[in-house]
Amino acid sequence: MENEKKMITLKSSDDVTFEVEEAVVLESQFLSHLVQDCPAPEHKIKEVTGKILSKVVEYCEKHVVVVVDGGDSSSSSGDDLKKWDDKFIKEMDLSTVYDLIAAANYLNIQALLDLMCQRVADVITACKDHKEIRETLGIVSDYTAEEEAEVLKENEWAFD
Amino acid sequence: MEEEHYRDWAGLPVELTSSIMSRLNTVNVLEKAQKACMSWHLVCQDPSIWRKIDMHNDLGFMNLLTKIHHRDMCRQAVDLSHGGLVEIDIWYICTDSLLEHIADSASNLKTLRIAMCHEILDHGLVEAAAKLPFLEELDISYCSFEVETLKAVGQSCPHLKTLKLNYPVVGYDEDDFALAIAESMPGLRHLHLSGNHDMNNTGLKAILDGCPHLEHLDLRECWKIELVGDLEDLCSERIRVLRRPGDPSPGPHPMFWL
Repeated sequence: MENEKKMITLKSSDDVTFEVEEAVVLESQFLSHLVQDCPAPEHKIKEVTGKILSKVVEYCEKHVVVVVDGGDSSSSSGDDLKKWDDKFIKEMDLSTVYDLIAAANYLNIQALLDLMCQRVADVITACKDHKEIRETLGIVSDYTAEEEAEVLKENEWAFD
Repeated sequence: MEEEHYRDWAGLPVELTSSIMSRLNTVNVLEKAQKACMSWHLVCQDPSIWRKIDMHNDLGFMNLLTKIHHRDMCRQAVDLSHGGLVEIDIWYICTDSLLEHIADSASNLKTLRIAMCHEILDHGLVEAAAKLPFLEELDISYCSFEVETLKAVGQSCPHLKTLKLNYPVVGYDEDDFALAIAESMPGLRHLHLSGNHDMNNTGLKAILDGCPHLEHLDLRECWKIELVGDLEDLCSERIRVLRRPGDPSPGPHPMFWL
């Protein structure tokens, strides 16, 4: 394990560069194929901005370290990781969540994608009705008035 | 929100929207999310997000109208699953007729959680189990099924690996129910028997003999059991996760007392 760690440079769409260990890159299935197939020292990822790529790198670095340290993925390191994940998403606005979903999907980082989708699910759960979901996520209803009336009727119940 | 451009949540690729929807409980999908926009509504019609139905809720006591509403939503979700349902939690509100509908629609069901459903009668559970040969997990905590019913369920569901029978509402006659489990559910790995006040050491011994693969056993608040001597050795040797009668327990769900 004392070998020189192989470093790889990732460059975002807006030319921000990140130098990371190869192990970090391997968290992404897309990047691991890229690195294997073309062993250049620098890889441009033109679908992801610097702001989002920095988050991706931060996430992958944290997750690599814990898995290596934990060895047998002991429960305490699992708990720590969970806490770190919670903090990571708590500070994030929904635009960033959206961009990270797109990036994690493109780079094929399943754990990050799961984390972000769960965050959106939690946001939806906290909304009191479909109107609040629209407001929170900025969704413009694409229903016609008749369709909307129809859909609302599907689950119309008298609660009072 | 320093970002300038608009994020089109309604336009996410279907598989991503689907991943988000499948993390919501059933009520949130049907009552809120699917009404937000047409594309989400379409995703919510797809059987793939209905492999699991989670109607477990902590609303506590529900009036009859709300119960009926939730049962109707459950039926709708079962229908949307088009036979692909593998896991359902319908705590507190399930009835015989709803259970029959579930069993008729979901022959591949692996997990059935019907804790605290006092409107399911013995023959209802027996008939449903007969249609669910692949069932692996059954939660009938806070219920009152007879010993013969447990036996019938065990015989109909040979793949049963997890049984939760915490805080039964009826008092069983000493060890009859333990003997029924030992006799008819030899494949059990996980057995949760918290708050079974009538079970004693004979019943426990029968279960250990009858269920050789048991690895998780919860005996909290089973006050008649005395884990000492050979029985304790046998448990420690065989059971990987053992909760003893006196181990700290959160106690029964508050609705148990209603």
